[in-house]
Amino acid sequence: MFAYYLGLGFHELRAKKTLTILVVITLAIGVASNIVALTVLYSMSGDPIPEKSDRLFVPLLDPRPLANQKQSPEPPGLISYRDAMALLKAGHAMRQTPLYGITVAVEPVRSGQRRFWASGVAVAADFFPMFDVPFVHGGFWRAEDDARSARVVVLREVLANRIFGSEDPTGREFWIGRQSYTVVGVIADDYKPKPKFYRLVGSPSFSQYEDVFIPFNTTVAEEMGISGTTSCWGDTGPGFQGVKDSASCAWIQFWIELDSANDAPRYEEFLASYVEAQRSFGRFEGSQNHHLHDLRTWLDIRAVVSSDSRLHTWIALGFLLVCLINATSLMFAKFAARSNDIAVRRALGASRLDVFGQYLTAAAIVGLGGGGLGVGLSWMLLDVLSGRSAELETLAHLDVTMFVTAFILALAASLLAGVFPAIRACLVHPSNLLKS
Amino acid sequence: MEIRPIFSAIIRSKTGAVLMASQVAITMAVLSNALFLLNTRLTVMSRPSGVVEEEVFVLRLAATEEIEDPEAMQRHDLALLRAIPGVVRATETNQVPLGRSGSTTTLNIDAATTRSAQASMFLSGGPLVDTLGLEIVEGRDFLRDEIRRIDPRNMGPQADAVIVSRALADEMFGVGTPAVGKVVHHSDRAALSHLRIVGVVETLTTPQAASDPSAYRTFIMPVQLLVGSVNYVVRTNAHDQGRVMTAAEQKLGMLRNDRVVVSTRTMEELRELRYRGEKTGAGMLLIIALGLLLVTASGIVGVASLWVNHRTRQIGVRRALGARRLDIMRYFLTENLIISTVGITFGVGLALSLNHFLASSLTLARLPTGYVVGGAVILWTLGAVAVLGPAWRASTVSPGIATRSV
Repeated sequence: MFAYYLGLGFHELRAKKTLTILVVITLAIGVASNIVALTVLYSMSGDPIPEKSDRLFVPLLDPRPLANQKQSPEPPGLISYRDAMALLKAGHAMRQTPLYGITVAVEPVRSGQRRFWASGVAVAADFFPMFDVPFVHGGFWRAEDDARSARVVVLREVLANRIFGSEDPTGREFWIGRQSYTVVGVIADDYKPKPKFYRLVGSPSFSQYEDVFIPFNTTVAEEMGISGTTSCWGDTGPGFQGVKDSASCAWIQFWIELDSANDAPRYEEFLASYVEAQRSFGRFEGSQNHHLHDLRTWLDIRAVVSSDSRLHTWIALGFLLVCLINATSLMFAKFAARSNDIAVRRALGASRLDVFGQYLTAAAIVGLGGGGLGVGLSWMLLDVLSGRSAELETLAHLDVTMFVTAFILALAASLLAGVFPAIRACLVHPSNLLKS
Repeated sequence: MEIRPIFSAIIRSKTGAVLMASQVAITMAVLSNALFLLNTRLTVMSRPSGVVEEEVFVLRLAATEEIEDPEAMQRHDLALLRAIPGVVRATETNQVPLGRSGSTTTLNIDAATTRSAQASMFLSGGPLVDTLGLEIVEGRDFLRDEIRRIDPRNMGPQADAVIVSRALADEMFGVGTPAVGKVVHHSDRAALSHLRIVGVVETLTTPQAASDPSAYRTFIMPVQLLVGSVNYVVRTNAHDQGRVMTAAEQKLGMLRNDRVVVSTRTMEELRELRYRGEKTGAGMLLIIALGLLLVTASGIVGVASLWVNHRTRQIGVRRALGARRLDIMRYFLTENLIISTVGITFGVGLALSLNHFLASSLTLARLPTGYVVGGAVILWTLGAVAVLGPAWRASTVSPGIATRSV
C-alpha cells in the first residue's frame, strides 16, 4: 500500500508542478538558512575537549588595588609572572602550565625561501598531555628541558613541512633569528580545537592556530616579546624585564589539570591561602577576588559564543516558521484542488486514514526534496561564508551531524506543514461527487 | 463598497485566511527585528575614524633581530619615506586607528583617582595629527619642544602634553566642556603624572573600533618610541597612493636585513578588515529579509489563486449581474487588505515581543517605532502587489460562466 501511496504522491506532485516546485524551494530556503546558522552556532558552542573539560581549570587572581577593582570588577584573565611561578612551584595540581603568545621570525633552511613570521605559544611540557595534543612525529620535551630553559621546539605539521619537507624533522635544527632550537616533536595539522580554549585572552578563538611551541622558561630567558594582552596597573619598568619583574602586570594564562573535579575545592583553598600569604607582603590590597573556573565556565565567561550568532539563529528560526506556514498554505492550495479525486477514492472504499496517509506521503516526498535541495544550498552558502574570514573558515563546515540534521529538519518541517492539509483532505465527504 | 460580503467569504474559507494572516504576522515580527539589526550593523560599519582614509596608508615593520640604534633607523626610514615624490606627511606611531592592535590605558582626572576614563593611547614623535588628517577643534597640535624620544628598553614614556579626543574630553569633564588647559595623569606611570591637555581632536577611533562608545576615547602623547618594530603612517594625494605605497614598501624592505615589512595597508583596507564581520552578518540578514518577503508573497499568491479558482462561479454571477472588472479586482484587493491588516496588527505585538526576548537575552536594543511602521507599510504593499495577479485573473472571468451548469 505504501508503494501505491508513493506512486499517487508523485502523481499528485507532478500534476501541479509549479506549486510543488514552489513548496520545495520554500522549504529548501528555510532549511538552508537554519542549517547555516545552526552550523556556525553549533561549531562555536561545542566543548573542545569533552573527555576532560571538567578537570581542566583556570585559576584567576586579582592583586589590583581597590580603585581598579571598583572600576572593572572582573578579575584579569591573566596572572603575573611572580604568581605564575609561585603556583608552579607549589605544584598542587596533577599537571600545570603557564602560557603566553609569541611571534617568531623563522629562518629558512632551504635556499630561495625568505624569512617569515610564525605565531606560537610559550608553554610548559605539561601542556601537551594536559590537552591531549596529537603528535605525528616525536613528542614533547621533558621536565628537565623546562627547568634548564633548553632550546627545544615543537612544530605544527604545516610549518615543519614548509621548512624541512615531508621527512621527520625530529632532532634537526630550527632557527629563530640567530638562535637554533632542536625539534623534538611535530603536532598534527588538524589539532585545531574549537574554540582555541587554551588562549582565549588576547587571541582570536577560532583562528590563528599556533605553529611553534617553545618552553616557557626558555622564551622568558630569551625575552621573547608578548603577543597578546598585557594588563598593568602599577608602575612598571621598561621593556620585557620590566613587565616580567612587575608584580602588577598580568600577561600569563595559567592552566591546571586536577585528578578529578572533586579536587577543585581543595585547590581553591590553596589559592586562598596563597593570597593570604601574599597579603603579608603588602600585595592583594584590594578585596578577595580570586576564582577557579573549569573549562566550560571559562568559555562562558569569555563569551566564546557570540551573541551575534545566537541572534542570527533566532532570526533564521523565525524565517523557517514563515516557510512552514507558507508550505502549509501552498499544500492546502494543492490538495484542495483535488477534492473531486478524494471524493472518488472515498466513495470507492478508501478510509479516512488511507487518504490521510496518501497526502502525508506526498508531503514527505516534498520534504525529502526540500531536504536535498536545502542541504545543497547550505553547502554552497557555508562555502561562501568560510571565505569571509579566518574564523568562519574554521566554523562554517557542514559535518555529518549537520547533514543528517538538515534532512530531518526538512522532513519534520514538511510533515508538520502537510499534516493540516492532509487532515483537511481526508475530511472530504464522498457525497461531494454527487454535486455538480 | 460592501464589506460584509467580503467578511462572510473570509469566514467561510477560514483556514486560508488564518494561514495568510499568520504568515503576515510572523513575517512582520521577524522582518522588523531583522531590518533593525541590519541597520545597526550598517551604522557601525559606516562610523568615521577621524582619518582622511583615502589619503593614508600604513607600513608595519617588525625587527627580526635586536636593533642597536633604533633612533637612527627610524630617522633614516622617515627621511627615505619623506623623499618619495607624492608623500605629503609621514611619521612613526605605536598604533593605528582600525589597526586592531594597540594599547588601552586609564587616565585619571585627579590624584585620588576618583574620576578616570579608559582610553586608547597613541604615541608619536611626528606630525600624527596632520598625517592622519585629524580635525583639531580646540587648542593646537604639539610643539617641537614638547616631543620626547624614549627608548623603552631603558625607560617608560614621559610627557607633559597630551591631545585628547572630543569623546574622551566629554567623558572626563562633561559633554561640551572646554578641555584645553586641564591636567590629567596616567594611572600607573609616575613619569606621566602631569599631562596638560593642549588640544582636542573631533574624532579619533581606537585600533579595535569596538561597536560601543569606547571606540572614540583616545588620546595622543608626543612620544617617539625608539623601537625596531614600528608602524609608519604616510599621507599622500589620493591618486598618488598606489605608486607611493609600492615605492615605500620596496625601499624600506631592501634597506636592512634585520627587519621585515610585515604589511602595507591602506586605511580603506584596514576598514574593510575591521568591518568584515559586520558586513557578513548584514549580508545574511538582508538575504533573510528578502527571503521572508518572497516567501510571504508566494504564500499570498498561492492562497489568493486558490480562492479565485473556488469562486469562479460567484465571480461569473456577479459579472453577469453588472459588476465591472474593476469591481471584481477591488473586491479581492479589499479582502487581502483586511487579512493583511489583521496579520499586521498581530505582527506588531509579535514584533515587540520578539524584540523584548532578543533584547533581554542577547545584545539587541529596543525596537524603534519606525521599524514597526516601516514593516507594516512594506507588508501592506507586498500584499497588494502579490494579490494583483490573482485579482486580475479573477476579473477576466467571463460572465457567461454564470449560465453554465458544469
